Amino acid sequence: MTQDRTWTPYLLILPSVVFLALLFIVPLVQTIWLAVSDQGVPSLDNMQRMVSDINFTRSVQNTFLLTLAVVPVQIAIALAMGTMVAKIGRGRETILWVWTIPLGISDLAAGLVWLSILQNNGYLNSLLYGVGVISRPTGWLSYQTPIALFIAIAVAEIWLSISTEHSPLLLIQSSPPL
Amino acid sequence: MKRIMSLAVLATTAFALASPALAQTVFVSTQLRPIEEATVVRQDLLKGIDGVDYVVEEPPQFAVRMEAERQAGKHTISLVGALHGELSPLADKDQLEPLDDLAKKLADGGMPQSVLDLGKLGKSNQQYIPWMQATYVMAAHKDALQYLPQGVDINALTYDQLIEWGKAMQEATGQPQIGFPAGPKGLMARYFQGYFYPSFTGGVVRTFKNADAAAGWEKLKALWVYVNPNSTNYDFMQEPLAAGEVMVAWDHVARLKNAISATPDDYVVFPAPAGPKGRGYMPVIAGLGIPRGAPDAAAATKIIEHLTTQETQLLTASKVGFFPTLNVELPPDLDKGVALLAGAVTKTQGASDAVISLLPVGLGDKGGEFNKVYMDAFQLIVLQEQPVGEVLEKQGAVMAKLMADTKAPCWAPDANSDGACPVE
Repeated sequence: MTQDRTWTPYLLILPSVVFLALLFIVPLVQTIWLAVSDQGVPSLDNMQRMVSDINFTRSVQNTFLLTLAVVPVQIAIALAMGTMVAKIGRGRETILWVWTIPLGISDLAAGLVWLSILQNNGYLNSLLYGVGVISRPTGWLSYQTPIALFIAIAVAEIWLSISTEHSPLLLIQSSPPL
Repeated sequence: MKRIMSLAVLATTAFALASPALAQTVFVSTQLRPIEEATVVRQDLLKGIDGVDYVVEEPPQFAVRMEAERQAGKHTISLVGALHGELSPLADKDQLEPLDDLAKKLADGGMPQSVLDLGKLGKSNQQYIPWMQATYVMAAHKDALQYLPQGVDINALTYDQLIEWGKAMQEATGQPQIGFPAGPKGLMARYFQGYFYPSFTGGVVRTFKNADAAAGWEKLKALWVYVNPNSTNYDFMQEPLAAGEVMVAWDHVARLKNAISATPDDYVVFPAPAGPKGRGYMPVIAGLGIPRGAPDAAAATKIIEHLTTQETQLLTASKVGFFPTLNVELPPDLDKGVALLAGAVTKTQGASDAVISLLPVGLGDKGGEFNKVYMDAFQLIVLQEQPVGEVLEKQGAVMAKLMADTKAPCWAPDANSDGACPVE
């Protein structure tokens, strides 16, 4: 009887493990093998090709720059928001609910939303034009305006991940003092 | 009760697993993929033929699927519809049934031999039957015409005239008004291979880094001052054109069709400009092929015959903007937008200084790398403003290596070569 019981949990999770292994781990291993091989022979040709692409260095630099810019800001904002909400009594659930909306939105959808705000005939330009700040639609997202472009990506990224940073920090904030 | 339920479940499962026995002719296509166009194919173009399963595939997945079927030896696809460049690797691996009888019938039925010959993909048998053709043209909103320099014939523009026009539009409206599809899914590479290089240098591969090419790039840099910088985000020019972001655009006819058909009275469509060596243009051919070992070759042949009749070809032109490969007169009651596009296509093909540039042949599956050479050169020279000479040397070396690896011989407009096409 006891022997039976020790196998049951493993058997119960076996289907999901097999599923994950077949559809995730096996392709992952195969992809890694594809990346470091050439026609079945181990070779670094593909890596070499990737590194010598004309835009590779710049992409890596931009990614690091973006991480450097975005992560501290995310944490600071999430901490601030967590602290504020911990002090609120009524309406706390509503505020928390609004703040977790970005969590439920996929990266792609968020990207499209921000694109519709920031593109040439998007909402930001309509607003600025209506208020009179600009006399004609300005491009914020073109290669000629790299700083505006960087800031736009950073803002969208921060907005999207505030909720993911926010929830654990809130938990920390609202846990009773030890 | 429990027993009946389990029997019922078992029976339904058995039926579900057994249903693939309904033999349908599988027609896989990389063209006419968007849902509206696919619906047109199923409801209008394939009307009258039963048992066809029209499946659309993205080009990379198409290549993978064909290769998978070849390696496994299990064939489910009876008919493929794809671009010349996508059928070329299949032909290289000897994966397509020869269609010489069908080709002869169509030649007698009104398909020009020059078009049919493209379907041979450089081999001795007919590999595919040309299904639809298209090309690239320029379109302009009529508001832009007031800025056209005096005395210029819009149907016979030169690059200098285009630059002057762009300058006038920018000065009047404060924004650059010319647009190119230089986005990640845009067809800018075809601009370089079919329009830019033939017009400035008379060649595509041979002349990649010669003095004419360098002069051409300088001219393009001068033009780019008046091109909307958002062009690096544009994939289909019909959207920026309709939204008023640009007034003048260059793109594939099918990627301009929506904007022009929506308000045909607002647009003029005209051939791309000419350079010192002529007015280069590239015809795009989509073809139908039957894979070797197809389960239902007879039905596939019937579908090909149906799709290459006059009525279906004209219907295709009016519904999806891809033009017939048969020699047919387009009817006068055609969709106005399509008629405008067709007019520009005729003017392009019939221009006295036209230089035809064919789609690459013999590159196998390295077509993407071939495009990358041109797009990288564009990025480095025009967007990053690096010295033209150095960039052309570097990219020329990449091109030479690519040609040597694929052993692809030269194709029009380059003069024929024995062995791999050299970069001079």
